[in-house]
Amino acid sequence: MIERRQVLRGVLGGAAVTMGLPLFDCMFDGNGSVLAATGKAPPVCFGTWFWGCGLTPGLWEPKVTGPTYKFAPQMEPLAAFRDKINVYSGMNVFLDGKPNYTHTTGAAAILTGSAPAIGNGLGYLNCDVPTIDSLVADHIGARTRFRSIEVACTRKATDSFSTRGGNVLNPTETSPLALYMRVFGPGFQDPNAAEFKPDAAIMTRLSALSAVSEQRASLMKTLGAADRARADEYFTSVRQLEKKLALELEKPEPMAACSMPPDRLDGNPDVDFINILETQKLFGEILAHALACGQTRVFHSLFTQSQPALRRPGRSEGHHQRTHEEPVDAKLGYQPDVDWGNRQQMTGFAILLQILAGVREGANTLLDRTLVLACSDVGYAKLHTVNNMTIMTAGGANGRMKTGYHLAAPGETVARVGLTVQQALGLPINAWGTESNATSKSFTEILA
Amino acid sequence: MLRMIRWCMAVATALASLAASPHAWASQSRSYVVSWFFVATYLQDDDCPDGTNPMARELYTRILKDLNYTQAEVKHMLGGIADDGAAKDSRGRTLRQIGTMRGRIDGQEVDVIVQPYAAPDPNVHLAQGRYANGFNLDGKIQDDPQSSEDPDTHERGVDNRLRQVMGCFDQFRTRLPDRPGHPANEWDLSRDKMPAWLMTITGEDLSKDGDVTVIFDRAYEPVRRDASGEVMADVTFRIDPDARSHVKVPGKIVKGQLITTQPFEFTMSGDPSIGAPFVIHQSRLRLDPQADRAMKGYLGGFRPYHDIYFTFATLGAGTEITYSIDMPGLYHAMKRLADYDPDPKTGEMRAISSAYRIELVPAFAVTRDATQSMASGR
Amino acid sequence: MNPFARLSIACAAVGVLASAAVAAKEPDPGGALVMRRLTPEQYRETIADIFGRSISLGGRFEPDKRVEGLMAVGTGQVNVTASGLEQYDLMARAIAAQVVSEPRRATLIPCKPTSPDHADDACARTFFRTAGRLLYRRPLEDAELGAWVAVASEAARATNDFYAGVGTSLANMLVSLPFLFRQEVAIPDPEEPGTLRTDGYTTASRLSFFLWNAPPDEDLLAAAERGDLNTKKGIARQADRLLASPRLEAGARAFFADMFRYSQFDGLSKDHQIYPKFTGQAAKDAPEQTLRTAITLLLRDHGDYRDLFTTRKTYLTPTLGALYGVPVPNLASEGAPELWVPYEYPEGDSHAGILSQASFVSLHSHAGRSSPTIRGKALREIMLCQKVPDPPGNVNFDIADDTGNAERKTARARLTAHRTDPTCAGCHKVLDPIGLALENFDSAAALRTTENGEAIDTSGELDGIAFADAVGLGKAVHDNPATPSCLAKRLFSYAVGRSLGGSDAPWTKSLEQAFAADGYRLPELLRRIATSEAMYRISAVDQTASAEPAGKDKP
Repeated sequence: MIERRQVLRGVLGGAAVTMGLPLFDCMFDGNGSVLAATGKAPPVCFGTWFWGCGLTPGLWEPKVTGPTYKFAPQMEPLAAFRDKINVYSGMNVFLDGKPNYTHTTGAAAILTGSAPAIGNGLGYLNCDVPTIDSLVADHIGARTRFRSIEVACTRKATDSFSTRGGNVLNPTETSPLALYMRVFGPGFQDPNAAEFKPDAAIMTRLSALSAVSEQRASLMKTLGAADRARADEYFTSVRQLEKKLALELEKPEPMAACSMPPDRLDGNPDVDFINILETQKLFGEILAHALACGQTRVFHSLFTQSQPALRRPGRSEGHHQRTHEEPVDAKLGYQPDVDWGNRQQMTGFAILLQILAGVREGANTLLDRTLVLACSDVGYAKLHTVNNMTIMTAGGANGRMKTGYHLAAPGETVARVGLTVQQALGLPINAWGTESNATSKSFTEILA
Repeated sequence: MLRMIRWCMAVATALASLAASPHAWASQSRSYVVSWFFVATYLQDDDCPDGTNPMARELYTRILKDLNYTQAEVKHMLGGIADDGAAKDSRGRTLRQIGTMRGRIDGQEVDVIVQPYAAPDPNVHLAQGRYANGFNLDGKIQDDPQSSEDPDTHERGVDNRLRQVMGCFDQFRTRLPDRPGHPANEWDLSRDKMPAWLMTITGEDLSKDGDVTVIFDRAYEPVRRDASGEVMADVTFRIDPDARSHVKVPGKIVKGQLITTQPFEFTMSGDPSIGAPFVIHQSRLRLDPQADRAMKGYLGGFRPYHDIYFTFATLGAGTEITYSIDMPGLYHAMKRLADYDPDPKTGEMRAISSAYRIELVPAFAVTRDATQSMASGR
Repeated sequence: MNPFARLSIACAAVGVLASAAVAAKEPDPGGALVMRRLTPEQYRETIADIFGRSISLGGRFEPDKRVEGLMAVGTGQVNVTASGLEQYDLMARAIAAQVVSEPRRATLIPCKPTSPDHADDACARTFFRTAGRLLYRRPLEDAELGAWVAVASEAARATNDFYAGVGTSLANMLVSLPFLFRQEVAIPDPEEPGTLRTDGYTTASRLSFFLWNAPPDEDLLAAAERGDLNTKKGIARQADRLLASPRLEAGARAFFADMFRYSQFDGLSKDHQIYPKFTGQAAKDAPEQTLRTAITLLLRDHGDYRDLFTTRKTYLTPTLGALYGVPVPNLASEGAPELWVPYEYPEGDSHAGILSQASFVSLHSHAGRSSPTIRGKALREIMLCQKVPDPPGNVNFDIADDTGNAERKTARARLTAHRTDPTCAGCHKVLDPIGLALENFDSAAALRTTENGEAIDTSGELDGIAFADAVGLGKAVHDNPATPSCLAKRLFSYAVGRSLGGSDAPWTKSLEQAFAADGYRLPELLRRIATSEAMYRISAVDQTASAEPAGKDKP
């Protein structure tokens, strides 16, 4: 039997070589069946999706918590994806004496875990700490062609809720056609044809890990029966970690779902509540194809501005204006135009999810291996409140996130969602956020 | 640093010893913190028979036409109404800039937000109707055609001309318990950073009717939010001894309701969007106790209308574009309806009758060195 | 000089004298060796002790398991799952990267390589010998040290970076079993021929984790190396040193947080419509209040453990002040965390002892209402070490849950109606009269005298002692003989990491008597356990231990 470390030493000593499965077969008890059964999980992806002015309190929260719940009226456009969505209600942004920068603070806190100390009052992000998409990109996006991709269906580059900190926005792509050229233009290499070079750093880790597993023999001798069984489980876990690393050294599975986006269109540049759905569809298609082709694993997609000027046909004022001015209909108990706009926004989210769910990868879909965090800037737009913020996630994060749940955490910090999301994506953190928004409580009930 | 620690220890000791003898006072005190405060302009059926005031788009159509912009130019400029800078006129000016500089004095363009009298009076719609929350401030009933009846107390001769001025702007048109858009917004945004307003009632036995003293103070700390996002009850505040934010007035409890018994000058420092300082002449206060120990009611009196105007002007032309409030219209209407405090030179009234909704929750108020404390509203 | 250190030395001296007078012989047969997984707190302390507090951990830990009332016992039964190991691996690599990082390497790596671009086995060996001894809580065996040096060497060659090599190797050491688990070793007792005891390093770990909730320091390891810890005298010397250290407070906190089940605060939430003052901050402050109360009373003031149930002295934050309805101004500067201030309830106040604190009445309540039954059960299980069976599965809770019932306005009325079923009545009879005394405190710990407009009757009874209210209940718990004996048993179980059996009874009985003779003082009790034979006695080593064929180990 070959000494594992010797093999790797040889590999590491030489130049990069293409490594195939057989080499590792010989290293794992010849137990290729485990590999075959496990298969190679395609990589997890993450996106944030922002829309402005939230939803109407009382019209979006499911009535019951847990796994069996019904969507409330304003979430109806998303009904087809109920099993793929988690809804989070009741959570607040804690200001700790800092001002509520209207249309900024709420989303900033959800996306950074901190209430911003400075604001521009204009309703886009101005944060000295990175947003969650940047944190995740640092973790899972470092080795892809694009660390992350940001788009704005409003077609304005400064409409962005993504930052790497330092109060500088990650500017958004404003034209679907331009994004198409950036990703699938001349620089694009078909991942299914590319030559594969295994990562030397992974090889080193795998080699080093053998020092851990090789302790088994001597340790077992010193343990009693009960503890030996526990140690056995530990070493099984070590073996699984080794297998996971070994898989990363293999030529990746062909990206079967990778293809060129169908349309090379720019859509209608006039931003209104109807055209914006078309723009979302175009951007969604390119993002989905970029994810399916392994070009990036992280995206930020802004659907509407935090103060959307989009008008309901026949109305003179935009959606944001209506949230403040439209009287609450005495019979209905809510603002009817705002309700219409909110449903339109959820339709925009449904379009993105439809596209992601439409990319089939074996038994699963691209949505299953993606996690999308959707959030808005206010809890109740009429009053700019940052309580009971509207937050959702969609997609299963490659099986790490259970879906189809309503989680209510009234009066707790919104940062609980961001923490849960990062843990589902495998980031090594046990706490997130600052001051009163700091939390170490993730929603463990949905972490798989 | 050391001094601070020693001081903290002193406070802690003082509190501990206080707690040991809570019944040392002959009289009773209860403290509260103001949790909501905004102008009381609740709508009534058919109170704007000529319609409400125009929305921003309509308002700016008129403004641009008055400035001789063509139909096409108006359409172009309004395309940028929600996104300042998206559309510019032939001189490169945005809608906001055009709106701001539409004032004319001696043929010169002036900032109409700062000098609202530089634009003609657009005669905004005034609210009408029988009812208005507030108080009979001038004591007159019959010979005051502009006075109203309070819908709760049914007191007649209620003076609240500010409601007439504001009542036909959509921003102010709500019914209880809803909160009117713009003023509620300003208060909600201010209260997290603005030192809280405190009220303490002292009397022989606060569970019975009788004479009391009402004191308003400002705290060092802003209010704190509870788990539902509202102002938390039973929080301890330290009183800022600043005399500019200290009001003391006699009052009484009648059938459980707290009222003040003589007009008083209400003056408190607040965030600029509320009023810095916030002054009401000839004030009256009426508060009803609630089951959850909160107090809710009205504070009324005459407010200098320049103060009111400039709390709206802090947003510049944004007040017109975001909240559809015609700023020169607001100014001229308040100036016309002002009913108190004549200017000694011109005889023009400088203050307008008004009423504010005020809500409070129980709190602890302690003096800065915490050697004195007031019992909570429990 | 830390005044507390002097105090503890004095306490320890008292303990020695008393010990001679009461407990002459400890007849405990000892227990098995226990392989305990480091708790998150112990993992953190270990990294902080060895590499400094500025190292950030990240990562999350697998959930612990409560056995016989203690997580400390559960640590001897839990495993590391595949996803748990992944988390350990992420943390380990993050920690290792910080240790070998440019600014830290000069202080944390005790030698300089001949060239930073090349492997340097001598320097790597120096590092792993030192750090490995602290991480494994024993010196590395030659083969172990050789393996870690070899890994560092290979990785350095692959990356052309000495420090990257050391980092890679260190990261793997941090996921290895001897670090993640506290392994124990038994040896024949040189002082008691024919019996087994823990070896010096196992003794060092037991002592250190018991009293400090942290790994053994250099002094303890050196004592183990010299063989000092194989003698009663040597153990006593080290125990006294640990007891006199300010780190004893962290150890005592860890124990009480475990015994009082504060891990349950992680999942606790209240209905914010009903209890708007119970914020996330309140949930953080509640257990801290009780821990501060306990540490001050038991360690700083050297008080009687039973007084924990009657004391009117405590600590509050402004957040807790709002919760309880007492004035506590916020004296911290803007944006800074709230300060804790000492607070004493007046004589005659309804608050007394830790049972009236949110850490008890809120933790053991429903989200939207109080529960006399849950509180009664918690008191019996946690404070008196009594077992209460879970309710049968088919119970109808309709009556108990119906808080809006016009006929039954108080919990007492609802429970009286609910108890008609004889299968339920037995347990409710021993739980409700305790819990009903705490009905003056709602689910968010706020004081109330009425429920749905009806006055609350807080009279009750505990094991034959009747009382009128929560203060009376506190007094009854104070006087109940099960209260101090529960602490003694839990503390010993915590120290040895196993549940206690019948054969432990004679020893724990003598321990309880000694605790009484010591006036129920915690430092004395800690010392009695830390210096006892029972803590280090090993009953028998599993004979199947070395039966595994060597060949099976090969991958």
